Amino acid sequence: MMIDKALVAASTKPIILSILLGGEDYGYQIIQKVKDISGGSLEWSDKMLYPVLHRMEKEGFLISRWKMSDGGRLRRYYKITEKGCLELDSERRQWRSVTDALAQLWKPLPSLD
Amino acid sequence: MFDLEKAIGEWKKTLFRSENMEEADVAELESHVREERARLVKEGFDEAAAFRKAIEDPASAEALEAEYAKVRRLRLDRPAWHPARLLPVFAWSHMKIASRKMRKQKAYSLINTVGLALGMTCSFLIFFWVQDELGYNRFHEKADQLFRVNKKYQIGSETQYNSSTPFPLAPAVRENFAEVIDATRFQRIRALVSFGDNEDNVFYERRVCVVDPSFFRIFSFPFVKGDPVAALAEPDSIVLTESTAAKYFGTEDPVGKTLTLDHDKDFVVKGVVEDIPPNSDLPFDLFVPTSRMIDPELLEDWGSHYAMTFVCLQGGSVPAEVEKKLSKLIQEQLPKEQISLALQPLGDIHLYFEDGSEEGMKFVRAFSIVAVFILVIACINYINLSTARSEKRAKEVGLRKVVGARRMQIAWQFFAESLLFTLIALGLALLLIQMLEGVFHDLTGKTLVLADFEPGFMVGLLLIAGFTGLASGVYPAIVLSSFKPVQALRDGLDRPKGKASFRKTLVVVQVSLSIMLLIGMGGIEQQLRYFRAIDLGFDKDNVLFMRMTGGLQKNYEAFRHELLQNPDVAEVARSFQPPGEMSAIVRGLRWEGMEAGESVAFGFIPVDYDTLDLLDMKIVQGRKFSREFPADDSNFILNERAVEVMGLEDPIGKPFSLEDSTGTIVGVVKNFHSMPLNYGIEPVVLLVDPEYYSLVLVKIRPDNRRGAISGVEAAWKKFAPGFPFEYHYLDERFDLYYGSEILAGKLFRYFVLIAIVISCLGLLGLSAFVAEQKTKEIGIRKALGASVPRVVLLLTKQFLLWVLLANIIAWPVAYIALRSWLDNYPFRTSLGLPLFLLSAAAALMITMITVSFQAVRAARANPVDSLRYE
Repeated sequence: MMIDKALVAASTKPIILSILLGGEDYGYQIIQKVKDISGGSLEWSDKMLYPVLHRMEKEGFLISRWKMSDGGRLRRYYKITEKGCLELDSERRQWRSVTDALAQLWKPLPSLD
Repeated sequence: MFDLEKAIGEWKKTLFRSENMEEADVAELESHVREERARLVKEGFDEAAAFRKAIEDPASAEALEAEYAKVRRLRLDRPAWHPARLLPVFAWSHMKIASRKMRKQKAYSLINTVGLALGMTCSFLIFFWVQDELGYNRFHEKADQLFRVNKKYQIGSETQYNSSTPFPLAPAVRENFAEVIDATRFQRIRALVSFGDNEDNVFYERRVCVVDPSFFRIFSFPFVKGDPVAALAEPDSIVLTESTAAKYFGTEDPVGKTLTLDHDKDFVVKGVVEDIPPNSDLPFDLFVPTSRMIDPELLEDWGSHYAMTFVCLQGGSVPAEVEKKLSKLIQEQLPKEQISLALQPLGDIHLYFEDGSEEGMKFVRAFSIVAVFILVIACINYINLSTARSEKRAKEVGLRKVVGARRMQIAWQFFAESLLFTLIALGLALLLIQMLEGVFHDLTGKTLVLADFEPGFMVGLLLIAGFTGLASGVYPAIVLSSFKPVQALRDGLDRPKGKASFRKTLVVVQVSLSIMLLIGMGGIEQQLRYFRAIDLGFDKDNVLFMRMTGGLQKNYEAFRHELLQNPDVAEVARSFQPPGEMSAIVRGLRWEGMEAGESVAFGFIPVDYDTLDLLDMKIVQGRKFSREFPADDSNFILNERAVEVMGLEDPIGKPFSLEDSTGTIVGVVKNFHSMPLNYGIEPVVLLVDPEYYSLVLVKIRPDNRRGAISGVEAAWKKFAPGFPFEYHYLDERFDLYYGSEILAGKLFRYFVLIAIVISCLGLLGLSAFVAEQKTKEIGIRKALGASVPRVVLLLTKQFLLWVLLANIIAWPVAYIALRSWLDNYPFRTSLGLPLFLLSAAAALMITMITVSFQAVRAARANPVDSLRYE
């Protein structure tokens, strides 16, 4: 099942913010987590995520720092900010109202066969 | 064998090609690719395949890059706590660094700031003065259409101009000329104004203006009360300025009140105008209609020229054609005389004489040049000091370049420094101007209020400041940013010969500008001294004069007798006009041997029997007028110039007639300056005619001036009761005539002083720098036995050379400029070598003193210290 591009774009921000709520993480790892969570249904270009991260950093939702991993690999770690938490909160409420609305409509699951 | 590092290097190169990818972005992507590759290898892919799979992406490279670009360009709304960013990103950092540099180099910064501030202050003040002078009379709404009618006439063999015209001219022009919308006559008188029953309510007004009702339609003097069109319509109406009304009536409404002029004529106040602005050449307190004040006979007389005439032309009409018509009109009325009329734009009457030659304009020009000179001198200071210090900054520039600064960035850094200096200097200059406001007012009579500056003036200020910043900032920015990093870091400085010689050129220019100013100042002073020392042909010292009143006219003999009783009074006589201010001419002269058809006009000077004695005028042939010869009331005395014009060999005893009176020539007086020194010597005829007397001249003895004046005052109170005692010294009056020259001389002195101070500041800084640069050389020389004077010579030699070179440039330029300025005066001083030598010597002395100050300090330093230096 493919998900519409616009929907992917719209959901990226809350997904990233939600992942980072669990703690500081670096780009590659974030991308892996997004993939895992969506079970592969969110098909996006891996590297396209980086500009998104940068944009969110510029908007003040994230901050980043470079850190040397134990394996000697240089990684850029992203961390959610206070502003990011507030943003996530607002996103969450928006998504919830959308999903609630859809859930109500679809409760007695109409026959789709 | 697959080389991972090489492959990654290649791949990175393709990314770097994009200008939207920064190093950090690439590094992040690289880290991603490495992680992905490692994962793929673990999954069992071989090295090469894993890498290929890791770098490949469903999205195209272009799309990715576009995303990066979007983020880079992303502009977010400024958060509330952030300061607004009006300036480029680096501006603040540039400014911060500049201010650090300033604090670190205090002496250098002080010299630069003070120099620039002084330069700007002078330029601002001059700019203000020039703007004010140029703005005279231009506030009238119809200023472009307004003209004064000037008269061109022959006196002797010379052509003269003045603005006296006959009274009937304005009405004739108004009625008959289609091009003329309106015209007004204009005469200034003095009057005693009284009102009410209170005897204290008597004011002697010197600025009473006799005009036609059309005056307020032509000129824009806004009315506070009353109607401009109707204000002077009635013959008995009078208009006051606001402050005159306040002086008379306080807060009461003046309209409808009755004023009496000269205890004789009653007028009713019909209007109040705003006070006349200071930049008007028509400054008046009261306005009365011509029809009431002027004798009806005079109003019809084309032969007597006492009024000024102003006309307002239709838009689009050609002044030259109106002039032709005007001349035709006056020639019809006065067929025997060589008179023509010309129009002078109202905007020109403040700065140009009636004949179109420069009056105030020559000073406006001179001072504008001075302003530019001073500003240039200040900028040169800055340029020289900042490039001279380039050695100190070379390492800084080199290092900045090594860590990646572009040339433009460094240039901006230095430019920011100049701008900061200029800004601080601008602040200082504004402060100085505020402080100098009073001095400036005392000197020029102009009021300069910073708070009231109009936008146009502010723009001018900013332009001057901007010019200063640019002129002083651009060159150092270019030079200092051009250093090559390797050379700069290795040698401390790349020192191409060109830059040092450019600096030398600038110093020479600066010094020569100062010398030009010095010569200019000397020239003006010399001309003034010449004016003062010139033999006028009469003695102007210790002579008082006062205007006669009706009572004095009648009782003059008794008044004179009373005065002569006073031992401090030497002589008393009557006169038409103050000596040296002849403004009347007479035509219709006839004498024996005059060629038929010849028409000549002479200056006309009615005198009293005692006037020539009082003024100590020399008779070269014949005798003075005397009461002992009853016929002298119709006899004449001529001056040498008149005799020359007439071509008479032996004039004494010859008949001479003037219009309808005929008499004999009884004497020839030595030529004298009957007019101010900007005029030549005119042929004049002197005669005794009581009808014209309007002044009393009193020669007093110099040792007891106060006693003499109180004696005169006592007699005045007795014979002219009710009139305020007002007198002038003739010699002070004389100074009044050269007021603009005296003022120019004074201003010039101040500005030259400031220019020299600025130059000295620059030289001081530069010499300090040279001394510093040669610290080691001086140390070595001294260690090898050089004496202090030798070292001083070493350090000052080049400055000496520069000053000499500067003189060579300055002399011819100054000579030409001064020559053309002096050409405005018929009587002028000669420009001798002493003036130039003196200026050169002064410049040399000032320079050497300034420069040696540092040189001596450097030369006396202990060589041990200087060799240990660095």
